[in-house]
Amino acid sequence: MTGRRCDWVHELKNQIGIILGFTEILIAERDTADPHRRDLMEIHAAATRALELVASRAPIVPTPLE
Amino acid sequence: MTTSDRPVLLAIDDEAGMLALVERFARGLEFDVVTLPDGARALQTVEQIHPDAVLVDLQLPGMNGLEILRAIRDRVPTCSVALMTGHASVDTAIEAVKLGALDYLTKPLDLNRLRDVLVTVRKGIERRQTKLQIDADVARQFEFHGMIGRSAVMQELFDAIRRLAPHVRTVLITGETGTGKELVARAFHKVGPRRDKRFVTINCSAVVDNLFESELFGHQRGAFTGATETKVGLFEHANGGTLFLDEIGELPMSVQAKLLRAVEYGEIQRVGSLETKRVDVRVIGATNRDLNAEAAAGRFRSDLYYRLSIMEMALPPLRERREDVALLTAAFLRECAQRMDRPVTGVTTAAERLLQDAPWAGNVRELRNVIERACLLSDGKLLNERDITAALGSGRSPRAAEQAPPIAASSQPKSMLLMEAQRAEIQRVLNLVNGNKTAAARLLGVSRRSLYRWIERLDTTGDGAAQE
Repeated sequence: MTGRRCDWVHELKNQIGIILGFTEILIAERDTADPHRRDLMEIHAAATRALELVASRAPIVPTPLE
Repeated sequence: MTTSDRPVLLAIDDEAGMLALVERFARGLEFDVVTLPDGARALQTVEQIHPDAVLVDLQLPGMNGLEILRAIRDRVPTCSVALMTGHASVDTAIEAVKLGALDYLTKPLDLNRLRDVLVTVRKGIERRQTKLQIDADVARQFEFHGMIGRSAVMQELFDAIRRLAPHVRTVLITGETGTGKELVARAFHKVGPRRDKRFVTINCSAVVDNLFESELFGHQRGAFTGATETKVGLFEHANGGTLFLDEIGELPMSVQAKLLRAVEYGEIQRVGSLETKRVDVRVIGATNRDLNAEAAAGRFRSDLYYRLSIMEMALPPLRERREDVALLTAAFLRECAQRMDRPVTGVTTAAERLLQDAPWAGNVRELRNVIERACLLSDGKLLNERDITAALGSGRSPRAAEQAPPIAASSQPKSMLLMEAQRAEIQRVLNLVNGNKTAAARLLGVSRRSLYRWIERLDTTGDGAAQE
């Protein structure tokens, strides 16, 4: 895996992480009766799947730091 | 920046979305949040923001997270730090732990772990604040007329004052500078039957020798050159109440004999008068000298010493009652923070240790000054060891801090002139060397100690242009 591709995967994971984080906050703030809660759960599930996909396509290689 | 009581989190990441997420989450946990995109800007502002916690990304343009962590630790030692990274590695994790990072979070962020970090930070602050509150409350319980002491020596002292104050006519209070001799004297006055009468103080080291007699006993009009009015002395002024002679060891021998008569028989004579007046005054003397040794060396009248020392109260230096340091700290800190309207509500563990172990040559007064200065210097909620070290370092000599305004000597133009001349010369030299007292002492051809004594006696500010 080239360095550029590695950066790209890293960036993508970061962005998905942000989606996940905000969705988690919004879910936590809603009680179970809230109609938006289910939608948020869907977003969260999709983002989690996306993260898994990225992870499975990016083989784990030791990435030298700096 | 942030003035509320909420803890402050500084988040540093080059990804704006990440900062937005952290901010949103931490605000929900009642943190104030400051977000910055890189280390350089963080280091510029960290001392103004004074964060309680810093969350920093490991991979950043310019300085990396570990370097930032190290630099922030140098500037704000009390602040907790956590790292976050998309590329976790054992090496950086170990390095982070070595630098005292609270946690090492991998991205995507586990918000539960971030919550744990923030809760730990909050609890740490609350624990220190609670400790201070408890100490301050305990201090209030153990307060006795402005003195605070839970130690056995102080408790015994308070007991002795309670028991003896209604009866004794003379007291000698001994103890190093800053131990609170005047507070003991005031306590004797307040507890005793004369509490509604006057408490009159004279600092014997601040009176010109040949004015003592007139100060203490008064003088008749025309008794000496410059005595244009009849003047009531302090003994008559304090009649029915208490006269406190601070630094009584400085009293000239000639006055000691007359003082003894006043103490023993309650008889005084104004200077220039043949008439003997009767006064009823409780006399309390205080000294940091060993009067017994002074008497043996012939510098203090032994009959006066024996009369005074019938009731001798020895105040322990602070270093011999270190168990009271925490209580005193808490009481002073609470009082200073309120008076100066500072947000300080506690001291860190490291700062507490420093205070606990300091030599305290200037005793409680020095501790009080150090806390006050540290309060002024600190921007945070907790005083840290840097605040304390700075405050300890900038401490002026305890003697200078002790300065008391000298008794006005307007009735003696001759000595005033001499004093004026001395004062002017000392001030001139001090200005010349920008207030450096060591240099000033050298120029004047005296020891630093004597210079301090002069400054104290002449009420020269000793400041010159700048502090040394």
